[in-house]
Amino acid sequence: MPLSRSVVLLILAGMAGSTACAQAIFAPRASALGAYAALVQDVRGFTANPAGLTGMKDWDLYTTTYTTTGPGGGGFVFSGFGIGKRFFDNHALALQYSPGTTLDVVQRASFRIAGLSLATNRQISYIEPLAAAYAVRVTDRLAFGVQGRMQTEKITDPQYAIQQVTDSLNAIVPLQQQYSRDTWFGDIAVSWKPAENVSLSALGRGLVRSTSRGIPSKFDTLALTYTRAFELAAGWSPAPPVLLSLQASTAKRGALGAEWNPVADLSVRCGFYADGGLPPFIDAVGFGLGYRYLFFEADASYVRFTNQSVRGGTVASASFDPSLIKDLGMNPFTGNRASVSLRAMLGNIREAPVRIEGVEMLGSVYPSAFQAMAYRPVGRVRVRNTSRRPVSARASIYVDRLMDRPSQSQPVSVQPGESVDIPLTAVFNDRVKDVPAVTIREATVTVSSASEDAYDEHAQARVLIHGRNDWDGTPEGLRYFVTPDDPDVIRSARAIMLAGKDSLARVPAELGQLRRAKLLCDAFTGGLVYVKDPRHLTEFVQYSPETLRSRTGDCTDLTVCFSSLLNSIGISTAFVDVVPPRMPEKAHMYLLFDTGVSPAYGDHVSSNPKRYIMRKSRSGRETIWIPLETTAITHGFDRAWTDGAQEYFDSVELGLGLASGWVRIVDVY
Amino acid sequence: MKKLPVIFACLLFACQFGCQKPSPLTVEPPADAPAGALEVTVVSNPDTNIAVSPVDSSGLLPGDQTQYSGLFLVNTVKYDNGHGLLSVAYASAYFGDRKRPFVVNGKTLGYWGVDIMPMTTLPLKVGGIVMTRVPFKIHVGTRDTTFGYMYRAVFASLQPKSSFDWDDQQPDPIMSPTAFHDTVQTPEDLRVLAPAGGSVLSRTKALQLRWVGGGPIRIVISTYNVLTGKTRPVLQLKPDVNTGSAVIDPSLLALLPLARNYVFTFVIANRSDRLLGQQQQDRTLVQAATVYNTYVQFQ
Repeated sequence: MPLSRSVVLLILAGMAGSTACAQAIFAPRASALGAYAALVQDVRGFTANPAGLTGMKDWDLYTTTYTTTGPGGGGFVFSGFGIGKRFFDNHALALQYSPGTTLDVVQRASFRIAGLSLATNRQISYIEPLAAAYAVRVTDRLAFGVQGRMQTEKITDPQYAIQQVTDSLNAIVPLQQQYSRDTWFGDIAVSWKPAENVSLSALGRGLVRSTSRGIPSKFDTLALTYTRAFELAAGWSPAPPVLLSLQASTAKRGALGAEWNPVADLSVRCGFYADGGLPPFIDAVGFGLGYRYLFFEADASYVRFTNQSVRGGTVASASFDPSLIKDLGMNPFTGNRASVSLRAMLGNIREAPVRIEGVEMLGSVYPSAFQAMAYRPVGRVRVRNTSRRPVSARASIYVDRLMDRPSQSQPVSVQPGESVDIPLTAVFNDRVKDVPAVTIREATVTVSSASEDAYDEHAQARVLIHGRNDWDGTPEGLRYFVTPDDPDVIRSARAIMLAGKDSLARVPAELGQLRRAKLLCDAFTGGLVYVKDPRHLTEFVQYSPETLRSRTGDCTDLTVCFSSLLNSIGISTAFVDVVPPRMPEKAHMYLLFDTGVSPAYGDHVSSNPKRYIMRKSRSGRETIWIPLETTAITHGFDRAWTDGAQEYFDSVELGLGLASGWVRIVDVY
Repeated sequence: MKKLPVIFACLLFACQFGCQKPSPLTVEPPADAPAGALEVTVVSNPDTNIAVSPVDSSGLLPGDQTQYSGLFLVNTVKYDNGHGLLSVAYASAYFGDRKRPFVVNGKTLGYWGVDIMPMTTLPLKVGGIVMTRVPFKIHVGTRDTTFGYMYRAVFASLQPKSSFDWDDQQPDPIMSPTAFHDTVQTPEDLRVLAPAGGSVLSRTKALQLRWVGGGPIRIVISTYNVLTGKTRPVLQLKPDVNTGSAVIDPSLLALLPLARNYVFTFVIANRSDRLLGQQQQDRTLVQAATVYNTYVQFQ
């Protein structure tokens, strides 16, 4: 929903009802801002929005004191303290004891008892001594909270009786009556962050009520009115150092607040209170300061009311109407108030300046290429610096059992309020090669400021891990199936070489590689069968030992196998990947191997120069390479060479496949 | 253990700066009934064997009457029962001889009324009007017994704020060695607006009293026996300042006995106190008063 529409809804809600509300004037930050509900993130003033308690880090302690300025003011009053605890990550509990949230009323009597010092004034005390709340975070952006608030009303009513002292002498004796009753209110709140810099909250106040008996009905006119109210609030940070807030209630009360951080750890606040029920419309203005040092935070505020007529501590009986008291901290009889508070954050309270905005996996993991994942990003995490200082952020990813430890990225500098993408590279262990088929694993992605060991935030991401024989279809990916150092491959290749050592001895040294390749290929003449891949979601490629054992395979399997064999005896190979345009079903792959023969001696290799290719070898020297159609090896080396040379001539020389890009040559090693 | 300093700091903060209680909101009573402006006295009923004049006619509480040997009264008394206003103006003079008590069955019922005007050629006058000597009667059982004398004069009306001279030109050689002269000024006229005579009132609601008439005023609330016509004062209310109104708190009304009929006696009196005889007990009260009785019922 657009922000503008939300604001309109808030204003409309504020105009709609006519019931009670409560302002969280208990906390100086709350009283300075006025509109505080959407900004609750700790135990301070949590009764404005208990759902905000999920913003606590661990333990949260809080105490506050205040003094009333002007006529009727006194010394500092212990307002109360609050304690909160976040547990199991997503749950929070808080308790507030606030004996200072009270309004004592003395109704002065119009008479006095002659000759006696009896108290004739009636005293009424309205107290909100307790509040307790529980909050749960449903998602990263949505939290719910419930709270119970206790309100106590005490009436001390002086009564008298005539006592006959003697037969002729009467006296008045006091029969002071004290009445008391408690009322518990149940509130429900929800907090929602539609965006990182926007927070919304809604609170149903007094939805449930339980009142004990104890005050006779003759004092009904002194009772506070209990009605339900609905409050909406919004907070918006247009830029990191500025925070704006808005609040409205069906009780026709609202507020606007602003907080500005001119420097880190220092906050300047102001707020305007609006009352749609009683004039003036803007009935109070709040100012405040906040300063944070390590895990302490001190707040101070001053609230001044625009109408001072009945705030001097004395009011005429005609002007005193308890139904006007919607809140003990802020009502028509409250004097200007200065508050000071101290907050301490205990336990696991490390700042988490870096937040995860999103995790994106860039593809799936092929076990055959797991080594490449150490250098090639498997995904990226978008992090945001929510602090007021530049931070150096790093990210890590960990997949249980398939990684020995989390793989960390290099630190990335992030400016305040800035979001950056950090690539995630993963170092898998060998167990990943044992994954038989496609599987999905949970990866834990964490971000932290580089200077800290503990992480700031973590997120889960799903990683698709293919089976050990799955191939991503690229010739680059096929290289990872080539295993020249596999013992079975080495053994097979060396055995063939050993069997043909006599014939090798007769070959000139410059043609040795060609001869060894021919010997290797001819050893499989008649011993290999071309078999298509099993039906599979992805390309299926056998590792060389598997092909050697089964003696079957398709073009990729055979290409991989002979590439492994040739490389195991020191002959460089390259894949020729052919994907004919508009005919992807005829894609094919065959092999090139390096003869090590200089082009000057091309005649020694073949009298037909179209049967070989000149290209640079691994050493940078230009040598003669021979194409091999590996599926034809079963018919012998010469046939495989002939077929390979023909295919190369057709696709590259005639079809200009290399120039057009539908033929690619990828070096294996 | 590392957290202990933090907790101590918080507690220290709270204790150091939070030792005061919030100032209460004081709700002042209405302007016509300022706080503490009404002095309430429970009326003691002294030895009621002694004959005294009822407060609704004399404007004097029984206790006040027994303090004095002599009473020289000039009163305008009004009675408002809701069916009409009856007004009576009179003067009376009585001086009791404390050495001659009237005792019946060991109880003192009164004192001999001294004839303070034995010679008809030098009569007792008030405002220049000769007072009539009448027998002083004491009620014994069902009959009245004459025990001395007293003096009375009846007027059609008394002008408010006018002076009345008591003039005893032939003093009693025993009681007073010198002639008795005194001057008293009648107070302002008194008219009670609330409660009106015949009103039915609630004990649980504040009762508004309103009147017209300046001067030091007292309001005496008495039970009233409609059969015998006798009153028994219960409370006396005395505003510090006569503003013409007062409010009686329900907690005070709760003090009243559970009788139905009451009379509110508003008294504005000018009084002087002088020693007429030789003994301290021979004190004499000279009073000019306006008394307004309004008869009401309590639910």
